[in-house]
Amino acid sequence: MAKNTTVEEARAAIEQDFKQGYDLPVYVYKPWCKSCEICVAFCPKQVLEMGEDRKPRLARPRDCIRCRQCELRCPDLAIFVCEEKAK
Amino acid sequence: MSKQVALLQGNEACALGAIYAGCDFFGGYPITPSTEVAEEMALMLPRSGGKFIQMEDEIAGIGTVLGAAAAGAKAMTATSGPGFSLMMELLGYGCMAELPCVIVNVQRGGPSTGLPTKGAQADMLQARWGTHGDHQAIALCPSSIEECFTQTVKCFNLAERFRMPVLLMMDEFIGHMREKMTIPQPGELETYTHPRPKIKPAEYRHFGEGTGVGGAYAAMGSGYRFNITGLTHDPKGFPTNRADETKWKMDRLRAKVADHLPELTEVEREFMDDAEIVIFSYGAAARTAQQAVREARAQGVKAGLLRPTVVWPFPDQVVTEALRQARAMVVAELNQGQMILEVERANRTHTRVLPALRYDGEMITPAEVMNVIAEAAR
Amino acid sequence: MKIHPAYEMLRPDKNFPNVWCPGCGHGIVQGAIIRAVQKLGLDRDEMAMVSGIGCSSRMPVYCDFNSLHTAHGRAIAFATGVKLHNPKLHVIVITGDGDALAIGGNHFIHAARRNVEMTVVLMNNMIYGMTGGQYSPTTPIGKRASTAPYGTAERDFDPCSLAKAAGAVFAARGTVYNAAELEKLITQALAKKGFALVEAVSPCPTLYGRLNREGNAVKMMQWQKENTVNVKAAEKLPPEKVRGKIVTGVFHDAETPGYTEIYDRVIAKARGA
Repeated sequence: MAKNTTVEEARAAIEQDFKQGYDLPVYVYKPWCKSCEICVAFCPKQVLEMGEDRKPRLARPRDCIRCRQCELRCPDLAIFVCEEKAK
Repeated sequence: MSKQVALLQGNEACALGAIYAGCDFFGGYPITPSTEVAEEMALMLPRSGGKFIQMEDEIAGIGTVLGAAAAGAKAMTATSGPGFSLMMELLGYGCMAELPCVIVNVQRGGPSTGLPTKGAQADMLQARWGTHGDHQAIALCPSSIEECFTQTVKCFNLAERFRMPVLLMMDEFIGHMREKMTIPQPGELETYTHPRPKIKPAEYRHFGEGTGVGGAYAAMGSGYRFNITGLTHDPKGFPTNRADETKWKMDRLRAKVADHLPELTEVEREFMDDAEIVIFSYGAAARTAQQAVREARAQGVKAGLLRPTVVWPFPDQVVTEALRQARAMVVAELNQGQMILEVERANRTHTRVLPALRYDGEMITPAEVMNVIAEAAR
Repeated sequence: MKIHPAYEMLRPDKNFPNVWCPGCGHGIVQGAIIRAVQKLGLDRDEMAMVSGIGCSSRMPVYCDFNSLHTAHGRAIAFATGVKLHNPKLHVIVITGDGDALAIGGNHFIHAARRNVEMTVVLMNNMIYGMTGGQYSPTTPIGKRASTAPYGTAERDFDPCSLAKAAGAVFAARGTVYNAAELEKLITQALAKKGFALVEAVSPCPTLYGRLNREGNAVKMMQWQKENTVNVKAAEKLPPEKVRGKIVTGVFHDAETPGYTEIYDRVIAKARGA
């Protein structure tokens, strides 16, 4: 299991990625993800797929309609829509 | 203000003492012979804006008390043997979560349903070891109606200061007996409320430095957000399985009583200066023992009375010392021999210890104690 | 770019991820609760989250509220004391099917009878998860559990009917699959003045799923998606169409004065006397 982190450490790591130009509509904070695959299975647009590290990744980011179903259904609050409207 | 003298029942005096101490929450369940405490609290609490609730069982009774205590109340419950047994798990929760509250046990004949309307003192060891796991206990034991009042006040003060449940071990004799007493004026008896923390919420640790005995600790909803749990936990109140944090918590709980024994030792003495035969007794039985000591003295026997008002922690040093000086010690109690075990444990000098027991629901008589004194004097 | 809105309600110095198994529904319920609290704009200092013992009850420590993790079955009794002493607090009880309905059943029905103002979120996974998969009062008859290797011989409770019969002012059921509806139900419950139950059907893949060969988290959630009927639709369907399905929605919504409101009248009467 990866090292546990506090929400403050999570926030710092995420903001770091944003600063470095992260521009996808959905963000996955991997340390909290337990690879349950719920988000991938129930994304209405099949945007997500499991990566080699068994964490979700955005395979088809352009198809994302920001419906937040992944965010609502993640038992670990590890995935969320980070960009409200497409640029 | 003229002195207010009242003829009170023990249970009534206990309730009045609770109000005097600033009790603002009572949760309980009807059970003979303690129900009058609940009835008085139901009558008096709302007058001062306090809350009374009769719950569906004794577990719920102590449960609401601990919930209210977590939210900052001075809370109490009152029960008797069967209810006291049901409260054991949460008594331990109160110790682990360090929640101040007062539990009154008006002891009755046991075990099981036993003798609901008859008195006994047979829950004494349960008061100390009834709940599971290593834990501390503070228990007081009144011998008069006035002490039902003053000791209830003291129980609240001790609960607030030591941040744990404190027991008042009454019995049906005292609980249902009526006696005259002078009601203390407001301010006459010391009442203590634990200080609230002043440091910034971000720095506050609900079980950290400065929150122990006499320390400042916060209530739920007071601007400090923290976690309380019955799981062994760290200073922040987060559950832990780590050995070092477990030892820290267990030592913290033990030190509460172990480091404050002088303050938690309270023993009344009568005719003890030159006593050769010491009668160790407490609660209702001590009233008989007192009479027996006086009669023995009248017959030229050098008897003395040693009466702990704080029965847990057991006054080891006082009893060891008394045993060292006495030719024999008689232990008078209304059970088949319970606090006598503690007396014998404190006996460093092989002094003779004789039981004067009664466990048939009736009060032990001076004559019965006198017989044992006579035997001790031989 | 925006960070997960729920993060501001998580306890800042607590280690994550939470203790629940991968795919357990309980974390989804936590998300729904946090969003409901945010939607109502409730002040964290006035939130009291009280739980019992079991998987469900490990939630409060993760929330930046006043959190009280009590003893098995006793959350509602503790919560009654918290609420009665300080009615300003919004009390949420976090409990499970075993915690609330087995050992805690007596407190559940009496708090509902008294209509003590609290929202009870009963996370129903139909099993005792923490202790390794024993059957609970909501395990459907015939289902397997570590203590029912041949299938249970007991019928199960419907917590919403139980709460309604006992006097609760609000009783609703949602699933973690439909987390948006669950959030809405919790928001409604939090706004109620009285004992408001929200039963959240929350799959337990590790134990219930494995013991009953109902697959992993995804399969169990898929089953929820395909076997849920809203109460309004269910009323129009023949019984055999509803049997074995999860019926969701609001079963009961009434207005009755809450316990602390009534007790304030007791105080007024006592002071007037």
